[in-house]
Amino acid sequence: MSMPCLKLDSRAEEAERLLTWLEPELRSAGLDDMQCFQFGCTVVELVNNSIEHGYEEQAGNPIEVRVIAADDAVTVEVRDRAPRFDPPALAASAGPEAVSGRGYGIILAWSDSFEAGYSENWNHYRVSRRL
Amino acid sequence: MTLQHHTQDNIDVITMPERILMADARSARNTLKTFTKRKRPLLALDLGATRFIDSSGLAVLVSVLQASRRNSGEVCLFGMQETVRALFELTRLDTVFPIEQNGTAAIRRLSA
Repeated sequence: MSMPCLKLDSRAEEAERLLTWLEPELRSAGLDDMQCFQFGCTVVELVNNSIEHGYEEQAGNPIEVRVIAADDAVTVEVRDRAPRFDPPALAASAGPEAVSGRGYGIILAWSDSFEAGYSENWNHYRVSRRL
Repeated sequence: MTLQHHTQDNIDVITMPERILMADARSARNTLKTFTKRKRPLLALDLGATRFIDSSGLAVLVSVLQASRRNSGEVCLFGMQETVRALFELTRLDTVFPIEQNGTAAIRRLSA
């Protein structure tokens, strides 16, 4: 089982680097174009949440992204050292015309499982997608 | 953010970038909103080159749509790739925006 890791800084600009790294990792794990796009969306939203809400857009803090490829699924783990965050069980039901509030719904809709936890001063979020 | 733009039949046709992400959101919103200041702004946004949009990018598009409609205008999206289309369907934004296959159809729709 391979487990490539990307270390990011808590700046919104890092999403470009994340996507450039993540897309080939997801493809080599076995996701097709649509799955790769959808699962990539969930990972970007997780990292955006860490930057925007966890670190409140303060640069200079660590975010780690790991891809865990298995025979039947690909899992991505995002870790940050922001204050502990316990995500709600359900996504807020923003209407389609709302300007914001879609990120968490995208995470839940386009992953087959989502777990969040906190240990040793790290938040960790895991999303999986079946192959 | 610099966006390619031309005018056709009094409609601003704007080519969106390959990625519309949180880092670009403020700049993209400010740039696009300059086109919504006039009376009855009509914007056709070409998403043909756009391979990725995050929720901040979606928020930009919605805020531009709202700004246009406040001035009795409209925004039509066109050229959307299948993946991006799936994101619009998931978030039900396909029920909020007029979406066309290509620029000709978008201009026809905005001209009607």
